[in-house]
Amino acid sequence: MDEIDIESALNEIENESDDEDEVQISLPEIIQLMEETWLNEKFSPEILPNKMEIVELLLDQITTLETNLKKLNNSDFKKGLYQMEVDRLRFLISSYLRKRLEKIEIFCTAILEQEKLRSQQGKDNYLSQNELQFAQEYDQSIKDNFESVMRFCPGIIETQIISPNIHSMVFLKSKENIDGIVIDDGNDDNDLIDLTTGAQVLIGYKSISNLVKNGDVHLI
Amino acid sequence: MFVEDFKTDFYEFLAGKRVFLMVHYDIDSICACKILQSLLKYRNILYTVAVIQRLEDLKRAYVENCEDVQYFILLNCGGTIDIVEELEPEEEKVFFILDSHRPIDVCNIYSTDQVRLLTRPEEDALVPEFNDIFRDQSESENESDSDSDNEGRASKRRRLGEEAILKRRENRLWEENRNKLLFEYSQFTYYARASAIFMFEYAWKLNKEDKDLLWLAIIALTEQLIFGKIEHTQYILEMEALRAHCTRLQHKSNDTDVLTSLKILFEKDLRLTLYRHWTVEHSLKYSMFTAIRMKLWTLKGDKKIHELLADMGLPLAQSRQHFKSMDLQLRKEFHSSLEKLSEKYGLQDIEFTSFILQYGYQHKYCASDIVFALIAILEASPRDKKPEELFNLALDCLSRNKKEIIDNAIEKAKIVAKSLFKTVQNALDMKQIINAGPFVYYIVQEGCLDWYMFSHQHILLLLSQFVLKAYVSMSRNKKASTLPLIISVPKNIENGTCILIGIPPVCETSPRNFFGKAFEQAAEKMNCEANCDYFDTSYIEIYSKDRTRFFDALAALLN
Amino acid sequence: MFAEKACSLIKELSRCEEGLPPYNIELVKEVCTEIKQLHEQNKEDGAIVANESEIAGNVNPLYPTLRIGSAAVKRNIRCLLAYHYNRLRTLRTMRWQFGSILPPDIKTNLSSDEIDWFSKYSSCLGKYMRSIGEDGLNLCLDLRPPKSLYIEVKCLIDYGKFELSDGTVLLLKKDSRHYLPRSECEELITQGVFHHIV
Repeated sequence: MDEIDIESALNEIENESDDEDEVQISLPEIIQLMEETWLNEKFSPEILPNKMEIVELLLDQITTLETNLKKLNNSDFKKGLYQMEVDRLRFLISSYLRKRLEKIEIFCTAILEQEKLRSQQGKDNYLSQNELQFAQEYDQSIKDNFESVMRFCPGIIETQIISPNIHSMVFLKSKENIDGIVIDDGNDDNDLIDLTTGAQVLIGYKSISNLVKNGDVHLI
Repeated sequence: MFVEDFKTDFYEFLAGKRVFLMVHYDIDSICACKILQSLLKYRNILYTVAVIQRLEDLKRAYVENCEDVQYFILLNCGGTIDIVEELEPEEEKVFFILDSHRPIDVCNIYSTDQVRLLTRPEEDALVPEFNDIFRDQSESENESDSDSDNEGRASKRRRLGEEAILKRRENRLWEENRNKLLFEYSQFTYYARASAIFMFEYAWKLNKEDKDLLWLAIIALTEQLIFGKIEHTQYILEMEALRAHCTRLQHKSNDTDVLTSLKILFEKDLRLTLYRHWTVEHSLKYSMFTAIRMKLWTLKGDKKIHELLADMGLPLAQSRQHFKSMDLQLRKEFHSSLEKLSEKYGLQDIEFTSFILQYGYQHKYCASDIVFALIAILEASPRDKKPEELFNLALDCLSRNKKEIIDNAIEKAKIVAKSLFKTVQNALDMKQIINAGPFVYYIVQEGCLDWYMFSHQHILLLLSQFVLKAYVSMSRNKKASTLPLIISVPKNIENGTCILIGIPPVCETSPRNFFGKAFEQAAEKMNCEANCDYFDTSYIEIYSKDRTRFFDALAALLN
Repeated sequence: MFAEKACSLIKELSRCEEGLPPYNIELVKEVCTEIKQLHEQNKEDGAIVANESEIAGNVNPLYPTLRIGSAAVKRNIRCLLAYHYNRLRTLRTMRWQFGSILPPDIKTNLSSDEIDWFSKYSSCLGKYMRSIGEDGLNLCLDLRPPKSLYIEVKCLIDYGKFELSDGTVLLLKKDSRHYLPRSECEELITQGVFHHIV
């Protein structure tokens, strides 16, 4: 029901905004992408590369939608449906960003180190600029707090770095035909599996983390 | 005016608007409110609920909210008073009224736009014709303010010509006729069909009815029966109608899983308070029906219970156990064996038809259980609870997943039944029920343990019925059954006020009550400060110090 | 026994599932003193062991003492940090629940460092939320997936007048019931003004 409603509802909006937007991507597609991103983030044990561009696109659309909604009559039956849809989209975004923040907070030090490594190697950062700033401030605040606790006896502080368990199991659905995935379960005798399009498997996250990141599979 | 078409003039009309619900503090209103809420939710109509006990509350709620709300829905309140005069609303405010109190104020009936009634008066109500009670003011009085009503406008007179004299005569006759019609129309206060049943039928017409809503209508109907608000024949008629709905809805649903399905069963019930949740002995003893038929407040009556139990073959030990823990065989036979013996012990009509709600295995209550539970919540809760809190609790009690609240309330209801019985027993033993000539009265003293509980409308009503029937059954006076009863209970000890209730004599089959008018006139005659802002006018609040004079005035009036 | 006090700190925290127990400054101080003493002791012992290097490390009679001492220090520190870290995590949850202003009854249970941390966290979260999109996004809203547009709520306190975004004004009195758009209520529900009736 979601897709159809929103599609018919937004035709007009799209017509307006298509000219200005350089990215030619329809709203249903954005929503589709956002949902996938959100699910991936929700189920993967580690933080994934940020998709801020989708978030921002969707946020723009929500704003346009809301202004259009205000024009509708209060008693209009359709209004309720659209409003509901907008609320759902907003939840999607909020929940996605919240999930990322949670991970950032818990695995703060580990993530920051990885990010440092990535920028040294010239790779793209996983965190957005704002998230990075948040992470650094958060990390600092925790460290400050610990230091002030240990003020009486400086120099013996040693914190544990909490890192995600990337061996945890995840459900995934494949979008492509993928051959020869190495099942990395810590043993030497590694098995291989092949995935056909639409296949659903339960597998250790580590074996497929790359596929999630490049979008060949998505978590469910 | 009346709302002709519920769907277009009420439901569709309110779509997209915000409404303010004013709900009277009684069971029928709560049920009606719950049905209405579900209707409003379907249409996404925003609402706010306020609880109304007296006229004073109605006025306050109106004043507090009139700036922000335009549409008001009044459930079981406001129908009997002239809304426009009492609230002085601005022109654009609209009031929808669904009220089971009767008689409906004629000004509301003939209001052109502002007051819209959702019910028509019953066919046998003598509603005066418009022309008989309203007249164009300028024609008769030459006065400028034509919207005020036409009482006592005969003061300013001009030259008395021949024509004028004729006209005056005509006016006088017309006025006499008007007063007569109005008096005939409004001399009795009574209850019409429950608002919840109306609401349920509206929901049915909108195709939005379900078993949950039907159950609410059933509760409201049962409440009217238990409190004697309607005649028994009317109860049977309404019940048959609801039974038809019940069968239809049962067939409609395809949910057959015992655990999740909601079943409403049509079954015979006994006039024994809460017997399914109590012990048989206690239920027999403290139910009004059995207590009166077997005079259980006497020593002899007490023996009679044991006799009855023996006749039924129910061991004493079993009868003192919780009904649920009795032997299965005895439990199954309980109903039939009691029925067989009913004639021998003068318990004819102990059966009445009612409904049972079953939800899963645990949740099984009959309609009267719920009514007693609700009344215990509303009127027998500790004094520090505010009405709004209790109202919310009562609403919760009606939802399916709050078994705990129902069970607690049932425990409380047992205490209510016990103290009713004990109070009656006490009143009879101490000969406190006094014959004042045209009526009998009973005064609950301030020292009485349960006076606070009895100062609530419905429990007071139960008490008065119990007292009067007990009095009649014990009295040697042949005329006892023709005497009405008045009970006085302290209302507010600090202010020294008490609440009076008057009920018609036992011989009357109709629950129509003439005390409304009588109270009003007596208070007027003796010129005492009285507070008659109850929507049911058979209650009045006066100062305790005026009580003796008030009774004298009433006696003079009724003679 | 070593680290017993530190352990009781942790126990105290875990007993209190919801909310925060008062910051136990005495016990924290005692644990700190214990760590300090142990640390000093270890240093001395360590120096002796180092001096007596002619005796091979693991045969030195002081060696087990040294090992136990150092393990105890580590354990103490772990417990102490865990105590503080978990308190901060609870505080963090509260930031999401109550917003940037803490209820006074909770505030009295905090140490000054924790209050500092809270305001730091609060501002850094606020900064982040403002940076999303063009004019920010309040992530504290939309906490649960929306089920319906409108919900029934019970008002828990005398709040006074409250204006909805479309201009309608409501009078919120204690124990009154309202049927309102969910989006308008959410904040008041987290603030404890409303109770959502299911």
